[in-house]
Amino acid sequence: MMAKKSRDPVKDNKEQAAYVLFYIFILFFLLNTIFGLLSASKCLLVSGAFALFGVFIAVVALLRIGRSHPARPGRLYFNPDKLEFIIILGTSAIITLGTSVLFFSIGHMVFFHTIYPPELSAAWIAMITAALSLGLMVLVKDRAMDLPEIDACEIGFILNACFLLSILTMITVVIARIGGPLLDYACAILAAFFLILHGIRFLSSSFKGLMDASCDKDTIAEVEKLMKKIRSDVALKELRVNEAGHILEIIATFAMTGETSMQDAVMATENIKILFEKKFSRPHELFVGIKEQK
Amino acid sequence: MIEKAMCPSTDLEDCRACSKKILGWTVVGNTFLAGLKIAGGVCTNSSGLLADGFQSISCVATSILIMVSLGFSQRKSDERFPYGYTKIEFIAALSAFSILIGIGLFVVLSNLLGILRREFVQPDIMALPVVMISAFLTYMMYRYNFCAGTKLDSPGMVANGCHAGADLFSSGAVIVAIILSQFGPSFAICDKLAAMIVGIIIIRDSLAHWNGNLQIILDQVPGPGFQQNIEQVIAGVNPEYHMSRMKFRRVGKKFWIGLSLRCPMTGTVQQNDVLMSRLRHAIIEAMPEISDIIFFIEAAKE
Repeated sequence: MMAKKSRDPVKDNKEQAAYVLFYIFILFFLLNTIFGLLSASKCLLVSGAFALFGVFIAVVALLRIGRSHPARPGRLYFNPDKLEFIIILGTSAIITLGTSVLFFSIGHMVFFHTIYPPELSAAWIAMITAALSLGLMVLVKDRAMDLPEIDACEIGFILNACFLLSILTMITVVIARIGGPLLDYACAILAAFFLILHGIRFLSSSFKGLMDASCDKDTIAEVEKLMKKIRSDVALKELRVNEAGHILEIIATFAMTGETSMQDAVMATENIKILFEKKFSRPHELFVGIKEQK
Repeated sequence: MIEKAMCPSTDLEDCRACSKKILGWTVVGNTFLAGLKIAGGVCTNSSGLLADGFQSISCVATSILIMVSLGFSQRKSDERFPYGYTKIEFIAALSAFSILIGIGLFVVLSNLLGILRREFVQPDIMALPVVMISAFLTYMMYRYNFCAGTKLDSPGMVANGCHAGADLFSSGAVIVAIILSQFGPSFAICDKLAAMIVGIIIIRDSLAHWNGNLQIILDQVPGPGFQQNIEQVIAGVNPEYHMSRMKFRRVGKKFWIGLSLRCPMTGTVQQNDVLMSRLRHAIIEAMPEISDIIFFIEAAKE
Protein backbone atom coordinates (compact mmCIF):
# COMPACT_ATOMS: atom_id res chain seq x y z
CA MET A 1 0.00 0.00 0.00
CA MET A 2 1.62 3.23 -1.17
CA ALA A 3 0.17 6.64 -1.88
CA LYS A 4 -1.55 7.08 -5.23
CA LYS A 5 0.11 9.81 -7.26
CA SER A 6 -1.78 13.07 -6.84
CA ARG A 7 -1.30 16.29 -8.80
CA ASP A 8 0.67 17.70 -5.88
CA PRO A 9 4.34 16.58 -6.09
CA VAL A 10 5.12 18.10 -2.68
CA LYS A 11 2.38 16.03 -1.09
CA ASP A 12 3.56 12.91 -2.98
CA ASN A 13 7.13 13.34 -1.70
CA LYS A 14 5.96 13.85 1.85
CA GLU A 15 3.66 10.83 1.67
CA GLN A 16 6.46 8.69 0.27
CA ALA A 17 8.72 9.66 3.17
CA ALA A 18 5.93 8.94 5.69
CA TYR A 19 5.19 5.54 4.11
CA VAL A 20 8.90 4.63 4.17
CA LEU A 21 8.97 5.42 7.91
CA PHE A 22 5.74 3.48 8.43
CA TYR A 23 7.01 0.30 6.73
CA ILE A 24 10.42 0.45 8.37
CA PHE A 25 8.91 0.77 11.84
CA ILE A 26 6.50 -2.09 11.07
CA LEU A 27 9.53 -4.15 10.05
CA PHE A 28 11.36 -3.19 13.28
CA PHE A 29 8.29 -4.05 15.34
CA LEU A 30 7.72 -7.45 13.72
CA LEU A 31 11.40 -8.47 13.65
CA ASN A 32 12.12 -7.39 17.21
CA THR A 33 8.91 -8.79 18.72
CA ILE A 34 8.96 -12.15 16.91
CA PHE A 35 12.68 -12.75 17.43
CA GLY A 36 12.48 -11.31 20.93
CA LEU A 37 9.94 -14.05 21.79
CA LEU A 38 11.78 -16.80 19.90
CA SER A 39 15.21 -15.96 21.27
CA ALA A 40 14.04 -14.98 24.80
CA SER A 41 15.68 -11.55 24.46
CA LYS A 42 13.79 -9.07 26.66
CA CYS A 43 15.75 -6.09 25.26
CA LEU A 44 14.58 -6.95 21.78
CA LEU A 45 10.95 -7.11 22.98
CA VAL A 46 11.17 -3.64 24.50
CA SER A 47 12.81 -2.38 21.29
CA GLY A 48 9.75 -3.77 19.46
CA ALA A 49 7.48 -1.74 21.76
CA PHE A 50 9.45 1.43 20.94
CA ALA A 51 9.10 0.64 17.23
CA LEU A 52 5.31 0.39 17.68
CA PHE A 53 5.29 4.01 18.84
CA GLY A 54 7.14 4.84 15.63
CA VAL A 55 4.43 3.12 13.57
CA PHE A 56 1.75 5.35 15.07
CA ILE A 57 3.81 8.51 14.67
CA ALA A 58 4.10 7.63 10.97
CA VAL A 59 0.30 7.12 10.81
CA VAL A 60 -0.25 10.53 12.44
CA ALA A 61 2.22 12.07 9.95
CA LEU A 62 0.14 10.66 7.07
CA LEU A 63 -3.01 12.18 8.59
CA ARG A 64 -1.27 15.54 8.94
CA ILE A 65 -0.02 15.46 5.35
CA GLY A 66 -3.57 14.72 4.21
CA ARG A 67 -4.78 17.67 6.27
CA SER A 68 -2.11 20.07 4.96
CA HIS A 69 -2.75 19.02 1.36
CA PRO A 70 -6.42 18.11 1.11
CA ALA A 71 -7.26 16.16 -2.05
CA ARG A 72 -10.66 17.76 -2.24
CA PRO A 73 -10.80 21.18 -0.57
CA GLY A 74 -14.10 21.37 1.18
CA ARG A 75 -15.71 21.77 4.51
CA LEU A 76 -14.92 19.36 7.25
CA TYR A 77 -17.55 18.82 9.90
CA PHE A 78 -15.08 17.92 12.63
CA ASN A 79 -11.64 19.06 13.75
CA PRO A 80 -9.04 16.69 12.24
CA ASP A 81 -6.42 17.59 14.86
CA LYS A 82 -8.70 15.95 17.44
CA LEU A 83 -8.57 12.72 15.43
CA GLU A 84 -4.77 12.77 15.68
CA PHE A 85 -4.95 13.28 19.42
CA ILE A 86 -7.47 10.43 19.82
CA ILE A 87 -5.20 8.07 17.86
CA ILE A 88 -2.19 9.13 19.94
CA LEU A 89 -4.19 8.80 23.18
CA GLY A 90 -5.53 5.36 22.30
CA THR A 91 -2.25 3.93 21.06
CA SER A 92 -0.23 5.46 23.90
CA ALA A 93 -2.64 3.91 26.39
CA ILE A 94 -2.36 0.48 24.73
CA ILE A 95 1.45 0.62 24.39
CA THR A 96 1.97 1.96 27.93
CA LEU A 97 -0.31 -0.73 29.34
CA GLY A 98 1.39 -3.45 27.28
CA THR A 99 4.83 -2.27 28.35
CA SER A 100 3.72 -2.15 31.99
CA VAL A 101 2.60 -5.79 31.68
CA LEU A 102 6.00 -6.60 30.12
CA PHE A 103 7.78 -4.65 32.88
CA PHE A 104 6.02 -6.58 35.62
CA SER A 105 6.33 -9.96 33.92
CA ILE A 106 10.08 -9.46 33.51
CA GLY A 107 10.27 -8.48 37.18
CA HIS A 108 8.18 -11.53 38.05
CA MET A 109 10.57 -13.81 36.13
CA VAL A 110 13.59 -12.34 37.91
CA PHE A 111 11.88 -12.57 41.32
CA PHE A 112 10.90 -16.20 40.82
CA HIS A 113 14.26 -17.10 39.20
CA THR A 114 12.84 -18.23 35.84
CA ILE A 115 15.81 -16.95 33.88
CA TYR A 116 16.15 -17.63 30.15
CA PRO A 117 19.33 -16.25 28.58
CA PRO A 118 18.95 -14.62 25.16
CA GLU A 119 20.01 -16.68 22.14
CA LEU A 120 22.47 -15.77 19.37
CA SER A 121 19.73 -15.02 16.81
CA ALA A 122 18.79 -11.96 18.89
CA ALA A 123 22.25 -10.48 18.19
CA TRP A 124 21.80 -10.83 14.40
CA ILE A 125 18.41 -9.12 14.45
CA ALA A 126 19.80 -6.43 16.73
CA MET A 127 22.61 -5.80 14.22
CA ILE A 128 20.10 -5.33 11.38
CA THR A 129 17.95 -3.03 13.53
CA ALA A 130 20.97 -0.97 14.60
CA ALA A 131 22.16 -0.50 11.00
CA LEU A 132 18.69 0.47 9.74
CA SER A 133 18.12 2.82 12.70
CA LEU A 134 21.39 4.60 12.07
CA GLY A 135 20.66 5.02 8.37
CA LEU A 136 17.16 6.28 9.08
CA MET A 137 18.43 8.76 11.70
CA VAL A 138 20.70 10.37 9.12
CA LEU A 139 17.88 10.47 6.56
CA VAL A 140 15.36 12.01 8.97
CA LYS A 141 17.92 14.60 10.09
CA ASP A 142 18.53 15.63 6.45
CA ARG A 143 14.88 15.89 5.51
CA ALA A 144 13.37 17.15 8.78
CA MET A 145 13.00 20.76 7.54
CA ASP A 146 11.04 19.68 4.45
CA LEU A 147 8.64 17.53 6.46
CA PRO A 148 7.06 19.60 9.22
CA GLU A 149 4.20 17.06 9.48
CA ILE A 150 6.61 14.38 10.65
CA ASP A 151 7.56 14.88 14.27
CA ALA A 152 11.30 14.63 13.67
CA CYS A 153 12.16 14.92 17.39
CA GLU A 154 9.98 11.97 18.32
CA ILE A 155 11.16 9.88 15.38
CA GLY A 156 14.75 10.72 16.34
CA PHE A 157 14.09 9.69 19.94
CA ILE A 158 12.54 6.37 18.92
CA LEU A 159 15.33 5.61 16.43
CA ASN A 160 17.92 6.43 19.10
CA ALA A 161 16.12 4.11 21.51
CA CYS A 162 15.96 1.29 18.93
CA PHE A 163 19.65 1.79 18.10
CA LEU A 164 20.75 1.79 21.76
CA LEU A 165 18.60 -1.22 22.60
CA SER A 166 20.03 -3.09 19.61
CA ILE A 167 23.57 -2.41 20.85
CA LEU A 168 22.53 -3.46 24.37
CA THR A 169 20.95 -6.65 22.96
CA MET A 170 24.22 -7.60 21.28
CA ILE A 171 26.12 -6.93 24.53
CA THR A 172 23.61 -8.92 26.63
CA VAL A 173 23.87 -11.91 24.24
CA VAL A 174 27.68 -11.90 24.62
CA ILE A 175 27.53 -11.47 28.42
CA ALA A 176 24.86 -14.22 28.68
CA ARG A 177 27.21 -16.61 26.88
CA ILE A 178 29.88 -16.06 29.53
CA GLY A 179 27.44 -16.61 32.41
CA GLY A 180 25.63 -13.30 32.97
CA PRO A 181 22.00 -13.77 31.78
CA LEU A 182 20.59 -11.16 34.19
CA LEU A 183 21.99 -8.20 32.23
CA ASP A 184 19.29 -8.75 29.58
CA TYR A 185 16.56 -8.51 32.22
CA ALA A 186 18.11 -5.47 33.90
CA CYS A 187 18.47 -3.52 30.61
CA ALA A 188 14.95 -4.48 29.52
CA ILE A 189 13.42 -3.34 32.82
CA LEU A 190 15.26 -0.01 32.60
CA ALA A 191 14.25 0.52 28.96
CA ALA A 192 10.63 -0.50 29.68
CA PHE A 193 10.54 2.03 32.51
CA PHE A 194 11.65 4.81 30.13
CA LEU A 195 9.11 3.67 27.54
CA ILE A 196 6.33 3.84 30.14
CA LEU A 197 7.43 7.40 31.05
CA HIS A 198 7.47 8.27 27.36
CA GLY A 199 4.00 6.79 26.94
CA ILE A 200 2.68 8.81 29.87
CA ARG A 201 4.14 11.95 28.30
CA PHE A 202 2.32 11.16 25.04
CA LEU A 203 -0.91 10.48 26.95
CA SER A 204 -0.57 13.79 28.75
CA SER A 205 0.11 15.83 25.59
CA SER A 206 -2.72 14.20 23.61
CA PHE A 207 -5.06 14.68 26.55
CA LYS A 208 -4.18 18.41 26.67
CA GLY A 209 -4.74 18.60 22.91
CA LEU A 210 -8.21 17.08 23.25
CA MET A 211 -9.01 19.54 26.05
CA ASP A 212 -7.88 22.50 23.85
CA ALA A 213 -5.29 23.48 26.45
CA SER A 214 -3.14 26.55 25.89
CA CYS A 215 0.39 26.13 24.60
CA ASP A 216 3.40 26.32 26.88
CA LYS A 217 4.23 29.78 28.25
CA ASP A 218 7.42 30.12 26.15
CA THR A 219 5.52 29.71 22.88
CA ILE A 220 2.81 32.15 23.97
CA ALA A 221 5.46 34.67 25.02
CA GLU A 222 7.23 34.27 21.66
CA VAL A 223 3.99 34.87 19.73
CA GLU A 224 3.07 37.83 21.94
CA LYS A 225 6.51 39.40 21.57
CA LEU A 226 6.40 39.06 17.78
CA MET A 227 2.88 40.55 17.53
CA LYS A 228 3.87 43.56 19.63
CA LYS A 229 7.03 44.02 17.57
CA ILE A 230 5.04 43.96 14.30
CA ARG A 231 2.53 46.57 15.42
CA SER A 232 3.59 48.38 18.57
CA ASP A 233 0.91 51.07 17.99
CA VAL A 234 -1.98 48.62 18.36
CA ALA A 235 -2.78 47.12 21.77
CA LEU A 236 -3.00 43.32 21.96
CA LYS A 237 -6.09 42.72 24.07
CA GLU A 238 -6.38 38.92 24.07
CA LEU A 239 -4.21 36.08 22.83
CA ARG A 240 -5.06 32.39 22.66
CA VAL A 241 -2.51 29.91 21.38
CA ASN A 242 -3.47 26.23 21.09
CA GLU A 243 -1.82 23.23 19.53
CA ALA A 244 -4.05 21.82 16.81
CA GLY A 245 -1.95 18.79 15.86
CA HIS A 246 1.31 20.08 14.37
CA ILE A 247 -0.25 23.47 13.64
CA LEU A 248 -0.45 26.32 16.14
CA GLU A 249 -3.86 27.93 16.26
CA ILE A 250 -3.45 31.59 17.20
CA ILE A 251 -6.40 33.85 18.00
CA ALA A 252 -5.38 37.44 18.61
CA THR A 253 -7.73 40.29 19.43
CA PHE A 254 -6.46 43.84 19.07
CA ALA A 255 -8.01 46.87 20.72
CA MET A 256 -8.36 50.07 18.70
CA THR A 257 -10.00 53.38 19.48
CA GLY A 258 -13.68 53.59 18.56
CA GLU A 259 -13.09 56.41 16.07
CA THR A 260 -10.66 54.34 13.97
CA SER A 261 -12.17 53.65 10.57
CA MET A 262 -12.89 50.01 9.69
CA GLN A 263 -10.73 50.39 6.59
CA ASP A 264 -7.68 51.32 8.71
CA ALA A 265 -8.50 48.65 11.26
CA VAL A 266 -8.80 45.86 8.68
CA MET A 267 -5.67 47.02 6.87
CA ALA A 268 -3.78 46.89 10.17
CA THR A 269 -4.96 43.31 10.83
CA GLU A 270 -4.07 42.20 7.27
CA ASN A 271 -0.65 43.79 7.73
CA ILE A 272 -0.18 41.89 11.01
CA LYS A 273 -1.12 38.61 9.32
CA ILE A 274 1.27 39.11 6.40
CA LEU A 275 4.24 40.11 8.57
CA PHE A 276 3.56 37.38 11.14
CA GLU A 277 3.44 34.77 8.36
CA LYS A 278 6.89 35.92 7.19
CA LYS A 279 8.52 36.05 10.62
CA PHE A 280 7.01 33.06 12.48
CA SER A 281 8.50 29.83 11.17
CA ARG A 282 6.26 27.22 12.84
CA PRO A 283 3.17 26.05 10.88
CA HIS A 284 0.26 28.08 12.19
CA GLU A 285 -3.25 29.35 11.55
CA LEU A 286 -3.78 32.94 12.59
CA PHE A 287 -7.11 34.62 13.30
CA VAL A 288 -7.14 38.34 14.10
CA GLY A 289 -10.09 40.16 15.65
CA ILE A 290 -10.76 43.82 16.42
CA LYS A 291 -12.47 45.31 19.46
CA GLU A 292 -13.06 48.83 20.61
CA GLN A 293 -10.56 50.02 23.20
CA LYS A 294 -12.52 50.96 26.33
CA MET B 1 -34.44 4.99 27.38
CA ILE B 2 -36.37 7.10 29.88
CA GLU B 3 -35.67 6.15 33.46
CA LYS B 4 -37.94 6.99 36.37
CA ALA B 5 -36.14 9.27 38.76
CA MET B 6 -34.99 7.76 42.05
CA CYS B 7 -35.98 10.92 43.94
CA PRO B 8 -38.42 13.76 43.21
CA SER B 9 -35.86 16.54 43.69
CA THR B 10 -35.16 18.74 40.66
CA ASP B 11 -32.63 21.01 42.39
CA LEU B 12 -29.36 20.71 40.47
CA GLU B 13 -27.26 21.35 43.56
CA ASP B 14 -29.00 18.46 45.35
CA CYS B 15 -28.36 16.25 42.32
CA ARG B 16 -24.67 17.22 42.20
CA ALA B 17 -24.20 16.43 45.88
CA CYS B 18 -26.10 13.18 45.40
CA SER B 19 -24.01 12.21 42.35
CA LYS B 20 -20.80 12.39 44.40
CA LYS B 21 -22.31 10.06 47.02
CA ILE B 22 -23.63 7.72 44.31
CA LEU B 23 -20.18 7.44 42.74
CA GLY B 24 -18.58 6.77 46.11
CA TRP B 25 -21.08 4.03 46.93
CA THR B 26 -20.71 2.60 43.40
CA VAL B 27 -16.96 2.19 43.97
CA VAL B 28 -17.51 0.53 47.36
CA GLY B 29 -20.36 -1.62 46.05
CA ASN B 30 -18.49 -2.81 42.95
CA THR B 31 -15.38 -3.63 44.96
CA PHE B 32 -17.49 -5.79 47.28
CA LEU B 33 -19.28 -7.41 44.32
CA ALA B 34 -16.04 -8.08 42.43
CA GLY B 35 -14.65 -9.97 45.43
CA LEU B 36 -17.92 -11.84 45.98
CA LYS B 37 -18.34 -12.86 42.33
CA ILE B 38 -14.75 -13.93 41.78
CA ALA B 39 -14.76 -16.00 44.98
CA GLY B 40 -18.19 -17.39 44.08
CA GLY B 41 -17.13 -18.16 40.50
CA VAL B 42 -14.01 -20.03 41.61
CA CYS B 43 -15.85 -22.04 44.30
CA THR B 44 -18.85 -22.97 42.12
CA ASN B 45 -17.06 -23.46 38.74
CA SER B 46 -19.19 -20.81 37.07
CA SER B 47 -17.30 -19.11 34.22
CA GLY B 48 -20.20 -16.70 33.76
CA LEU B 49 -19.93 -15.56 37.38
CA LEU B 50 -16.15 -15.26 37.07
CA ALA B 51 -16.48 -13.08 33.94
CA ASP B 52 -19.06 -11.03 35.82
CA GLY B 53 -16.55 -10.54 38.63
CA PHE B 54 -13.90 -9.16 36.28
CA GLN B 55 -16.48 -6.83 34.83
CA SER B 56 -17.14 -5.49 38.32
CA ILE B 57 -13.44 -4.70 38.64
CA SER B 58 -13.68 -2.62 35.45
CA CYS B 59 -16.76 -0.90 36.95
CA VAL B 60 -14.62 0.15 39.93
CA ALA B 61 -11.98 1.58 37.60
CA THR B 62 -14.49 3.50 35.49
CA SER B 63 -16.34 4.83 38.56
CA ILE B 64 -13.09 6.25 39.92
CA LEU B 65 -12.31 7.73 36.49
CA ILE B 66 -15.75 9.34 36.26
CA MET B 67 -15.50 10.64 39.85
CA VAL B 68 -12.20 12.38 39.12
CA SER B 69 -13.43 13.78 35.79
CA LEU B 70 -16.65 15.14 37.34
CA GLY B 71 -14.61 16.98 39.93
CA PHE B 72 -12.54 18.64 37.20
CA SER B 73 -15.43 19.37 34.82
CA GLN B 74 -17.01 21.77 37.33
CA ARG B 75 -14.00 24.12 37.11
CA LYS B 76 -14.32 27.37 35.21
CA SER B 77 -12.10 28.18 32.24
CA ASP B 78 -8.69 29.64 33.04
CA GLU B 79 -5.42 30.57 31.32
CA ARG B 80 -4.37 26.96 30.98
CA PHE B 81 -7.70 25.71 29.64
CA PRO B 82 -9.38 28.76 28.04
CA TYR B 83 -12.26 26.65 26.70
CA GLY B 84 -13.06 25.15 30.08
CA TYR B 85 -12.86 21.67 31.57
CA THR B 86 -16.19 20.23 30.44
CA LYS B 87 -14.66 17.98 27.81
CA ILE B 88 -12.84 15.94 30.43
CA GLU B 89 -16.09 14.18 31.27
CA PHE B 90 -16.57 13.13 27.65
CA ILE B 91 -12.99 11.86 27.43
CA ALA B 92 -13.54 9.87 30.64
CA ALA B 93 -16.85 8.53 29.31
CA LEU B 94 -15.17 7.55 26.00
CA SER B 95 -12.44 5.72 27.94
CA ALA B 96 -15.07 3.98 30.08
CA PHE B 97 -16.98 2.79 27.01
CA SER B 98 -13.74 1.70 25.31
CA ILE B 99 -12.96 -0.46 28.36
CA LEU B 100 -16.49 -1.85 28.28
CA ILE B 101 -16.23 -2.73 24.57
CA GLY B 102 -12.90 -4.42 25.32
CA ILE B 103 -14.51 -6.43 28.11
CA GLY B 104 -17.39 -7.39 25.84
CA LEU B 105 -14.99 -8.61 23.17
CA PHE B 106 -12.97 -10.56 25.75
CA VAL B 107 -16.08 -12.23 27.17
CA VAL B 108 -17.39 -13.21 23.70
CA LEU B 109 -14.06 -14.52 22.41
CA SER B 110 -13.04 -16.41 25.55
CA ASN B 111 -16.40 -18.14 25.83
CA LEU B 112 -16.49 -18.89 22.10
CA LEU B 113 -13.09 -20.54 22.46
CA GLY B 114 -14.44 -22.49 25.45
CA ILE B 115 -17.38 -23.74 23.37
CA LEU B 116 -15.14 -24.71 20.46
CA ARG B 117 -12.81 -26.62 22.83
CA ARG B 118 -15.87 -28.17 24.52
CA GLU B 119 -14.72 -26.96 27.95
CA PHE B 120 -18.13 -27.22 29.64
CA VAL B 121 -18.28 -27.12 33.41
CA GLN B 122 -21.56 -27.39 35.22
CA PRO B 123 -21.78 -24.56 37.77
CA ASP B 124 -22.93 -25.38 41.29
CA ILE B 125 -26.42 -24.22 42.34
CA MET B 126 -24.75 -22.35 45.24
CA ALA B 127 -23.68 -19.72 42.70
CA LEU B 128 -27.35 -18.68 42.41
CA PRO B 129 -27.73 -16.73 45.68
CA VAL B 130 -24.41 -14.94 44.99
CA VAL B 131 -25.64 -13.83 41.58
CA MET B 132 -29.03 -12.76 42.92
CA ILE B 133 -27.48 -10.56 45.63
CA SER B 134 -25.17 -9.11 42.99
CA ALA B 135 -28.09 -8.46 40.60
CA PHE B 136 -30.05 -6.60 43.28
CA LEU B 137 -27.12 -4.36 44.28
CA THR B 138 -26.20 -3.73 40.64
CA TYR B 139 -29.79 -2.77 39.83
CA MET B 140 -29.71 -0.12 42.55
CA MET B 141 -26.42 1.26 41.26
CA TYR B 142 -27.79 1.29 37.71
CA ARG B 143 -30.94 3.22 38.67
CA TYR B 144 -29.19 5.79 40.84
CA ASN B 145 -26.42 6.47 38.33
CA PHE B 146 -28.91 6.88 35.49
CA CYS B 147 -31.12 9.14 37.61
CA ALA B 148 -28.23 11.48 38.40
CA GLY B 149 -26.85 11.20 34.85
CA THR B 150 -30.10 12.20 33.14
CA LYS B 151 -30.96 14.99 35.60
CA LEU B 152 -27.49 16.53 35.39
CA ASP B 153 -27.09 15.67 31.66
CA SER B 154 -23.78 14.13 32.61
CA PRO B 155 -22.21 11.69 30.10
CA GLY B 156 -19.88 10.38 32.80
CA MET B 157 -22.72 9.35 35.13
CA VAL B 158 -24.63 7.86 32.18
CA ALA B 159 -21.50 5.85 31.25
CA ASN B 160 -21.30 4.63 34.82
CA GLY B 161 -24.98 3.71 34.70
CA CYS B 162 -24.38 1.79 31.45
CA HIS B 163 -21.58 -0.11 33.12
CA ALA B 164 -23.89 -1.08 35.95
CA GLY B 165 -26.59 -1.95 33.42
CA ALA B 166 -24.19 -4.21 31.54
CA ASP B 167 -23.28 -5.84 34.86
CA LEU B 168 -26.99 -6.36 35.53
CA PHE B 169 -27.48 -8.02 32.14
CA SER B 170 -24.57 -10.34 32.74
CA SER B 171 -25.91 -11.28 36.18
CA GLY B 172 -29.30 -12.06 34.61
CA ALA B 173 -27.68 -14.25 31.97
CA VAL B 174 -25.66 -16.06 34.63
CA ILE B 175 -28.85 -16.72 36.68
CA VAL B 176 -30.55 -18.27 33.62
CA ALA B 177 -27.43 -20.31 32.83
CA ILE B 178 -27.07 -21.67 36.38
CA ILE B 179 -30.75 -22.70 36.52
CA LEU B 180 -30.64 -24.39 33.09
CA SER B 181 -27.36 -26.14 33.90
CA GLN B 182 -29.07 -27.96 36.78
CA PHE B 183 -31.18 -29.90 34.26
CA GLY B 184 -28.23 -32.01 33.23
CA PRO B 185 -24.70 -31.97 31.75
CA SER B 186 -26.04 -31.35 28.25
CA PHE B 187 -27.23 -27.94 29.45
CA ALA B 188 -23.75 -27.00 30.72
CA ILE B 189 -23.17 -25.12 27.43
CA CYS B 190 -25.79 -22.61 28.59
CA ASP B 191 -23.27 -21.00 30.95
CA LYS B 192 -20.94 -20.10 28.09
CA LEU B 193 -23.75 -19.18 25.70
CA ALA B 194 -25.24 -16.86 28.30
CA ALA B 195 -21.86 -15.17 28.81
CA MET B 196 -21.49 -14.72 25.03
CA ILE B 197 -24.93 -13.17 24.65
CA VAL B 198 -24.13 -10.81 27.50
CA GLY B 199 -20.86 -9.85 25.80
CA ILE B 200 -22.67 -9.04 22.56
CA ILE B 201 -25.28 -6.93 24.38
CA ILE B 202 -22.51 -5.01 26.18
CA ILE B 203 -20.68 -4.29 22.91
CA ARG B 204 -23.84 -3.18 21.11
CA ASP B 205 -25.00 -0.84 23.86
CA SER B 206 -21.55 0.61 24.43
CA LEU B 207 -20.90 1.34 20.75
CA ALA B 208 -23.80 3.80 20.48
CA HIS B 209 -22.65 5.78 23.54
CA TRP B 210 -19.01 5.53 22.41
CA ASN B 211 -19.90 7.04 19.06
CA GLY B 212 -21.86 9.88 20.68
CA ASN B 213 -18.98 10.81 22.97
CA LEU B 214 -16.47 10.55 20.12
CA GLN B 215 -18.49 13.04 18.04
CA ILE B 216 -18.32 15.56 20.86
CA ILE B 217 -14.57 15.06 21.37
CA LEU B 218 -13.97 15.45 17.62
CA ASP B 219 -15.91 18.76 17.78
CA GLN B 220 -18.32 17.42 15.20
CA VAL B 221 -20.96 19.87 13.98
CA PRO B 222 -24.39 18.48 13.05
CA GLY B 223 -23.79 18.95 9.30
CA PRO B 224 -23.92 21.55 6.50
CA GLY B 225 -27.23 22.84 7.88
CA PHE B 226 -25.39 24.23 10.91
CA GLN B 227 -23.29 26.62 8.85
CA GLN B 228 -26.23 27.47 6.57
CA ASN B 229 -28.31 28.50 9.60
CA ILE B 230 -25.56 30.84 10.77
CA GLU B 231 -25.26 32.33 7.27
CA GLN B 232 -29.02 32.95 7.21
CA VAL B 233 -28.92 34.76 10.56
CA ILE B 234 -25.99 36.92 9.38
CA ALA B 235 -27.86 37.80 6.17
CA GLY B 236 -30.91 38.66 8.26
CA VAL B 237 -28.97 41.11 10.46
CA ASN B 238 -26.84 42.66 7.69
CA PRO B 239 -26.90 41.33 4.11
CA GLU B 240 -23.56 43.02 3.35
CA TYR B 241 -21.72 40.66 5.70
CA HIS B 242 -20.64 37.25 4.42
CA MET B 243 -19.03 34.41 6.28
CA SER B 244 -15.73 33.25 4.77
CA ARG B 245 -14.49 30.77 7.39
CA MET B 246 -15.81 29.14 10.50
CA LYS B 247 -13.69 27.78 13.32
CA PHE B 248 -15.58 25.65 15.83
CA ARG B 249 -15.06 23.53 18.86
CA ARG B 250 -17.24 21.85 21.40
CA VAL B 251 -17.44 23.22 24.89
CA GLY B 252 -19.33 20.44 26.61
CA LYS B 253 -22.50 19.93 24.60
CA LYS B 254 -22.47 23.48 23.22
CA PHE B 255 -20.27 25.10 20.56
CA TRP B 256 -17.69 27.82 20.59
CA ILE B 257 -17.55 29.49 17.17
CA GLY B 258 -14.96 31.72 15.53
CA LEU B 259 -16.45 33.43 12.44
CA SER B 260 -14.42 35.19 9.78
CA LEU B 261 -16.67 37.78 8.16
CA ARG B 262 -16.15 39.70 4.94
CA CYS B 263 -17.69 43.12 5.17
CA PRO B 264 -17.58 46.49 3.40
CA MET B 265 -14.98 48.82 4.89
CA THR B 266 -17.39 51.50 6.07
CA GLY B 267 -17.99 52.89 9.52
CA THR B 268 -15.82 52.92 12.60
CA VAL B 269 -14.58 50.31 15.05
CA GLN B 270 -17.24 51.45 17.55
CA GLN B 271 -20.06 50.98 15.03
CA ASN B 272 -18.62 47.60 14.09
CA ASP B 273 -18.56 46.54 17.76
CA VAL B 274 -22.26 47.41 18.12
CA LEU B 275 -23.10 45.45 14.97
CA MET B 276 -21.06 42.44 16.09
CA SER B 277 -22.84 42.49 19.44
CA ARG B 278 -26.25 42.49 17.66
CA LEU B 279 -25.10 39.70 15.38
CA ARG B 280 -23.79 37.64 18.30
CA HIS B 281 -27.06 38.02 20.16
CA ALA B 282 -29.11 37.10 17.04
CA ILE B 283 -27.05 33.96 16.34
CA ILE B 284 -27.16 32.70 19.93
CA GLU B 285 -30.90 33.36 20.12
CA ALA B 286 -31.52 31.48 16.84
CA MET B 287 -29.11 28.66 17.73
CA PRO B 288 -29.00 28.06 21.50
CA GLU B 289 -26.49 25.22 21.01
CA ILE B 290 -23.86 27.96 20.50
CA SER B 291 -22.35 29.21 23.76
CA ASP B 292 -19.90 31.87 22.53
CA ILE B 293 -18.81 33.57 19.28
CA ILE B 294 -15.70 35.51 18.30
CA PHE B 295 -15.70 37.53 15.07
CA PHE B 296 -12.75 38.12 12.75
CA ILE B 297 -13.18 40.79 10.12
CA GLU B 298 -11.71 40.48 6.63
CA ALA B 299 -11.88 42.92 3.75
CA ALA B 300 -14.62 42.09 1.26
CA LYS B 301 -13.27 40.68 -2.01
CA GLU B 302 -13.91 42.99 -4.95
